[in-house]
Amino acid sequence: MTTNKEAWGTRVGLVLAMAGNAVGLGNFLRFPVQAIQNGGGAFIIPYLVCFLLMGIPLLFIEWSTGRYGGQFGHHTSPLALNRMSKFAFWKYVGVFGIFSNIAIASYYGYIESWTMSYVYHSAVGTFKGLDQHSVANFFDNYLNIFTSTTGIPFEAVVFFLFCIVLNTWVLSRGLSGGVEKVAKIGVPLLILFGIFLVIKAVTIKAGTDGAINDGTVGLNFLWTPQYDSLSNPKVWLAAAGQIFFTLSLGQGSVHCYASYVKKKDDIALNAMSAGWMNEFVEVVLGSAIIIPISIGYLGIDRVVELASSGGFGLGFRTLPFLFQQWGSVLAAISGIAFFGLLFFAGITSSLAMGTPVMSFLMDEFKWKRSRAAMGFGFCVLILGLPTVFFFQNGVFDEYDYWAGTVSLVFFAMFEAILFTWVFGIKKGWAEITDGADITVFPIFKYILKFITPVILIIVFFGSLVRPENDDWSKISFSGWKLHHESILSKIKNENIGPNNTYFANQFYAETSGTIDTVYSDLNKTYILIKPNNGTSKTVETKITNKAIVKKGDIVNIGDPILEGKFTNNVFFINISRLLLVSLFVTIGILVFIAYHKRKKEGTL
Amino acid sequence: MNTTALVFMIVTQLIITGITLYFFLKVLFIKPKVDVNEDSYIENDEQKNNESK
Repeated sequence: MTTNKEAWGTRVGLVLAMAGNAVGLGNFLRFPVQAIQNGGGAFIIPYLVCFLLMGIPLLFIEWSTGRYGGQFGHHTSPLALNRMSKFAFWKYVGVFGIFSNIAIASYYGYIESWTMSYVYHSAVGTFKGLDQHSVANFFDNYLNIFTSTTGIPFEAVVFFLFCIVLNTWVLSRGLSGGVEKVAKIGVPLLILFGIFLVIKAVTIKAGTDGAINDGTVGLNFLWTPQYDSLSNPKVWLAAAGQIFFTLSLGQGSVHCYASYVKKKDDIALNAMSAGWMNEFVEVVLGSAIIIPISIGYLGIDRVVELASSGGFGLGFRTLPFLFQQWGSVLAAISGIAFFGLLFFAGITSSLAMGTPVMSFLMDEFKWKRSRAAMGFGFCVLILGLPTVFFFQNGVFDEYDYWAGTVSLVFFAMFEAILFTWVFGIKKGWAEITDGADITVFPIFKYILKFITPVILIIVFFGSLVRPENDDWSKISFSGWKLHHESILSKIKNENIGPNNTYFANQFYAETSGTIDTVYSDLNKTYILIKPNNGTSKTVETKITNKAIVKKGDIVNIGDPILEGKFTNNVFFINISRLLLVSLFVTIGILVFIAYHKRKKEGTL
Repeated sequence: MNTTALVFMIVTQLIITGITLYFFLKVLFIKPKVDVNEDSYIENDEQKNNESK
């Protein structure tokens, strides 16, 4: 029998842990940026529609699949899914429920370590007196692991290691003694920090402390509906994508947490409570911090430009500088509050990623809890170090794309089909409503069967063949040009550009434009190319490489701009993919062994 | 803020906050199942054991 004797301490603890699993960095950094890029207030409409038609049904599916699997001693996706159908195929689909957690935790742990580091730097006043450029540079230098901002060598690595050790230690304390305690402290603190920052953000007054706009200008920008964007498939795909990330769906962590709920106990109310709590943090708090503050001090145009490179730029490169405008004491408090809330959002999610891995090792291989926690920590360390050392070479982005985006959609699509069509909506509905403390509207039965799987299939195929510039009118039988973020384009490495060999003696321009600057800093040479249109692009290289262009030169894509020895990003990208595939295959083999072991024992 | 944005923001946020509070308060105040030894939560078992002593 299994050595797994885990249980939740309290129901509130379970709901907070599940909400903490869902609430992540994306609630504060990704959601507002997505909203800005997809029509401001109009994004909220497709977002909420996707929450109702896809988010809530998937929460029901994952909670009930988890509780169903738990009845047979299966606390992870592979064997829980196997139990729902007689076809062997499903347990290998379930491999995603372990794979995604390890792969995401590997790079997510790194972001979590940034937040920890920024709490420290906010507290000791590192950003005091720095101008905007220096604060932005601080982040770039931090990512360059050989630079130390605290006197600790390899600072980024040290914080990353500390973060993994902390996660491993909490996980080794178990569900009620570790995960639940962190959630009970972390989630309320996160909400308190959030409320404090929202009040500060919306009360920004133009002309005070260097602000050029009122805080409400940002809110106005975010919440003014642009109804024409509702007919754009890009907005709907973005809204559906955001729902995945924000609810931590298609990842297997909900299965695992819910598997420790007994058959007679409610899952419907728990699922709704955790899901809506995440929406509160995202829509009410997440939308009212980063955008109002940034627009208050930088103006709409600058923020839209910064948002085009994602939420991390705004969060880590800009906000610490903006907090300084409130005076040193409030800057320290706000920095601790903002990066502290990101840290709690991060750790409650990364703990949820560790639990399925541990449960698998404890259930199937009889590992003790502390050993299983260390096993998870070790895997994350091995897979995570490449993201730390080769962050700027695209390893982080590659992990995020395949494990944190594609895998989630793929897994969710299959689990929805399994639950509603293979397991059957009749049995599925009974699982959802069994022991329910609320009345689940019968309409969800039909949404679950007919709408959710269809939306998921559309989202998956939409991501597979997404057209260039998101222009869906270009789709035709004669073919169309793919978006560089589409799955097919990624597989074919179409977005790699002219530097498409692993090793080279020359580096070619990836943008057409005019050389704006060539300068050296911290043993690196930077070449800034100002494109004919669009934002500037910086090429960064080692000092040992020689620039063969000078300021004012006009370059086209593919023109050589540097000479020396180069290991191009495509090398690191393919190594990342190899690592991810190896991880998936290894887990697949372990699932195969576990399945046959259980079959022999008669405990399937 | 313009009126449309203000109305849109307030209505959305009130609905979300209201539903969140409704469900969370239900979780907080709903009584555990009668047969608590069969439920999922350790503290309910401890409570039951203390009561039986």
